[in-house]
Amino acid sequence: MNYLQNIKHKADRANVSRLRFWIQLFTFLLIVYGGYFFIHIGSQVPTFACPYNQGSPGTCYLIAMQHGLHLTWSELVSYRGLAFFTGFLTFIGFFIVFNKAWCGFICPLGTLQDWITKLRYKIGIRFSRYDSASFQKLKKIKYVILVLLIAIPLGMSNSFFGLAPINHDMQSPFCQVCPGRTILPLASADTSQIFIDFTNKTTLVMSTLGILITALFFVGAFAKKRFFCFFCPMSALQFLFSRIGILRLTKNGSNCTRCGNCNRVCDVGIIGIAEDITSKYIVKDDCMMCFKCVEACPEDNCLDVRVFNAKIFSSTQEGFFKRYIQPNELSLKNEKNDER
Amino acid sequence: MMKDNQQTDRFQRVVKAASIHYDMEIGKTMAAITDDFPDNPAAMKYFYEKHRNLIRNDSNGKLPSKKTIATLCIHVPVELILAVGAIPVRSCAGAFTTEQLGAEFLPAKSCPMVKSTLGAISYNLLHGKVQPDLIINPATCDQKKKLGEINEEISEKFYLLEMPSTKDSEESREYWLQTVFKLIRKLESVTGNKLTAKSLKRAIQEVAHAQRLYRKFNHIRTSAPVILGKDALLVTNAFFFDDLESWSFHLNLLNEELENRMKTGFRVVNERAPRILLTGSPSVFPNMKMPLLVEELGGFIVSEEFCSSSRMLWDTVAVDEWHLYDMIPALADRYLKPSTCPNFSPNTDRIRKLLSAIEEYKIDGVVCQTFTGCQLYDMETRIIAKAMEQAGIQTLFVETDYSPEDIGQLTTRVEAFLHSLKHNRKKQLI
Amino acid sequence: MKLLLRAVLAFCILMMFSLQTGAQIWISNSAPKESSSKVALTGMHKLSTLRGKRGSTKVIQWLRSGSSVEESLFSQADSSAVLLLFDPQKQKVAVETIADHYSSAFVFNNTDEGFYNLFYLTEKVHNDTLLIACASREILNHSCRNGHAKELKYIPYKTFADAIPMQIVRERTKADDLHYFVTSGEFVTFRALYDGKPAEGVKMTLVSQKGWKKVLFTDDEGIASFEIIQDYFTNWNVFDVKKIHNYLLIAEKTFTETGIHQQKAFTHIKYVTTYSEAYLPAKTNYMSFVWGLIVFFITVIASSIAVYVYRNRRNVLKKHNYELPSKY
Ligand code: SF4
Ligand code: SF4
Repeated sequence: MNYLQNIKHKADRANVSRLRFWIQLFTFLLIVYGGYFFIHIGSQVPTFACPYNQGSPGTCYLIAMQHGLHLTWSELVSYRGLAFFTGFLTFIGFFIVFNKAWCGFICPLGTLQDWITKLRYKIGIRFSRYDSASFQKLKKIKYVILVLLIAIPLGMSNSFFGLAPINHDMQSPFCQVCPGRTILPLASADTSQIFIDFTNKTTLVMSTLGILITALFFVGAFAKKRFFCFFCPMSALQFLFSRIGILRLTKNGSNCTRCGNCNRVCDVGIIGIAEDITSKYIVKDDCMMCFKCVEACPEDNCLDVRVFNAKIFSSTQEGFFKRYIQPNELSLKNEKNDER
Repeated sequence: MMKDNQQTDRFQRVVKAASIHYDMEIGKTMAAITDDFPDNPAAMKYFYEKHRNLIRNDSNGKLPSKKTIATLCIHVPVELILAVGAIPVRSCAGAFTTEQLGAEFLPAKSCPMVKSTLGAISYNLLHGKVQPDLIINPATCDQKKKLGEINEEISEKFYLLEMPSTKDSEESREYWLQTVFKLIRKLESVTGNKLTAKSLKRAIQEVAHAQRLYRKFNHIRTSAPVILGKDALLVTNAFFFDDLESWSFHLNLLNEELENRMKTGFRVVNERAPRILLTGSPSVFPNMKMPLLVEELGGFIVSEEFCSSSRMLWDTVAVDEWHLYDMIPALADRYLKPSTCPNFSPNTDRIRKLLSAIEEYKIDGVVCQTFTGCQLYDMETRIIAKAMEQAGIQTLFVETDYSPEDIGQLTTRVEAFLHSLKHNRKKQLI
Repeated sequence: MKLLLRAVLAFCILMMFSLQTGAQIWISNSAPKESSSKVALTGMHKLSTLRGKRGSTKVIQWLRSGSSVEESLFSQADSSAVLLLFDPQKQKVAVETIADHYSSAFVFNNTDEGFYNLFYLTEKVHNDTLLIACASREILNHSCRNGHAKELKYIPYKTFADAIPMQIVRERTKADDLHYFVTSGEFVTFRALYDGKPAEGVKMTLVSQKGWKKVLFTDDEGIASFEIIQDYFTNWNVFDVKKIHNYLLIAEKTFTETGIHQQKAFTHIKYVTTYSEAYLPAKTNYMSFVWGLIVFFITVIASSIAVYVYRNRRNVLKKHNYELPSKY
């Protein structure tokens, strides 16, 4: 027990962000080039493992879902529906292991945005934030996208309210506008996804939107940290099941001073993480489980990362100062206060 | 103007007489602090000396070439003052002597701290007898707000730091950020130095280092009875005027000594001493009336929720990107968001803080002091009373001021309170 | 009556064609015009399928005769012919023949993912020549709805030297995966295999949908490459990117060899193997990389300027006339 406590004590002082950087680098390579090394992780990956990229070791669940829902009502209740359902369960199975840490640690687009942020930080250009009113409004967009992404494939095979089925040019509607489709193949030196499709009005609009969103992805990520994540339907889909995740982020509101440190360092700019002092499970819609907030919280055991109910990383005063004070910045006579 | 006035004989005579009185007041308090108790930690000597010489000289280890900037509240970001190369001195005064001087300017029913502070500023009796180049006065409570207007001889040095009256809304945060920006400009023009990312980062880190030591100190004293509250208060009070670096250095020494005490199981009070949490209007040296009284009568002050101690040092700045665009808002947030000052409404955070401290530090009873004339604390007393009653914590509410007159009556009340706490404890044990 | 007339006509024409060497049998994916409403082109590879009970579907392919993609007649299977179907695992599987008065169709279940190989073989002696005709098709079966359990990687062709004397295979390209579709403008390479080995000097004739023809002879590796041309033009606003065309490849080679087949003596053996596949219009017809880049850069520049201006106007520091020190 003492041994475990010792490890925990060490872990609490660790610099998770640095660790995260390396994990992200690794997972980025894995998700972008893993396919070349005969790694195969299936077609229910809860992150942007884009199959348009030759090197992808698996398939993003969003495309599988859009294809899987391209069903008539009768098919939906037949074995095809069952196949969709089992696929969905596989997705959830994958998802709950890391919970939203899929976003913070694994998603290649997220990693890309973090790297753009690093670049901006190096140059010294300030970042933007949404004010809370816009924040509340904009965060709904990803749910709208999620609903469309489910409804359009169904609308292609069925007629809703007596309307004619949607044109097949809307096949995989989200993929058509997803920046992952255009950007990730570039990692395999494949530029074929950058195009405007002049076939007809639908494809013209969708492909132009796709390019537009890709461009905004870069500009946005440069101006605001994790710009795209805020609109990501994968994030929305994941959040619906976040409560049953194995990895958890919890908060003990009575230890919170509402100092706002956590909100300040949060890349997505979640306000609730500081203001909410009643919820135990504090993962909010946009949270990507990067645990920067836990690092920045200066109160003992206020924010905790847990596996099931066992704490694996907690906010501590000690850890906070250890991470935030850079001794070479100080002209102090006494340095040994580091150890306790 | 001020300078002319200072030349007058009357002014000189008042200052001289007040200095002597002030010094005597300090001597008396220090005697009570050091002589009435055995077991004072050796490392406290530095802090005792600092306080003994509070108004004796004006060097206090500071470089005379630097500008001095007085602050009148914890809401002034000291990091900014340090970053522009000036010396911050928190100038809230606790002396009865200066209170009487200040009474000349203010209505009779004003808060003693406001009176004392105004008196001290008007008659050059600030800590270390510094003559500040700028007095930053946050517009918190109504009495403070008007402070700068009353004595026109000193008002030109006053800088009103605007404060929002709530801290929860985004607008107030925005407003406060603008205020901080304005303050930076003022500081830059007074000192002639530019604020740079480098200097601010350094200042933030140095203050954070001090805070780290303070938190460690707090951890020690709340987990083992190795130092009395009256000493702890002196430590935090020294932060008002001491040089940051030497304060940190000596606090570190003290921490080491206390850790040794912990190891050897040494304790300054016996285990039956009720554990007390102090809150309310802040005790500023030499106004150590309540803390001394409680501990002389056998209580043990484990922690204080005062803007002269924990509230001043506890909260931290968290910066994500070490450029000014993030550091300044981070700094602004640190001085607004976690504040539990009663001038904010709502101020539920204070109750939560008290309750969590009570639980964490195993508090037996709360002593809540209010200065006569301090309306905000007085009003909040009622809210606290309700919350404490719900939590089942015995609380003593006292109204007091800087004059020594009410000692007798207070002694009786505190004694009775401590007695009942001990009694309760016994009951719990059985 | 009408039907009978047609059947007779068809028979006559068939007879006429079969007397000429130009008439080839081949397997076609396109249905006759008056085929039943249960037949449709479905899936990402636009296979002809026959809708059965409870939404189940089967692949259906037709036997045709002639050397034009559009004009070839639908013909009936010979009772002496051999019909072979191999599933993606190279296992022989059942195939059913549905015949009406003038045409035959082959119907089978496409349950596995990958290439099915369908062969129709006939042998007969004509004018001292033993004619061994083989109509073949590689039928790619994949639906994205079933997920992508198989890696999206190129799938090699399969050879059936035991069953088929002369086989034509399409050489795979790098992009050849479950989603691959030949498009016009592409070079498609075929390889003729005799007894499983590359056959040199085989005459290969490629016929496009609209009848454009090209003849090549295979080199010593049995290889001949054709550019699949786009042989029609439309205005862009009516351009159909999903328009399926088919090409037909005819490979012929004659050997001098004497023998007797079904009591008929011959002095030559002629192998004729046909292969047909669908192709789509080239992507460059309707997709523009350059326009993609132009839109991308315009958006990047425009939105950067917009963000810059917006942030500049809302810059609190600026508002306070606060000079920016060093890095800001
Ligand atoms: S950093 Fe910790 S104490 Fe501060 S608001 Fe967040 S959770 Fe609360
Ligand atoms: S709330 Fe915490 S874990 Fe979630 S994204 Fe923000 S900083 Fe990361």
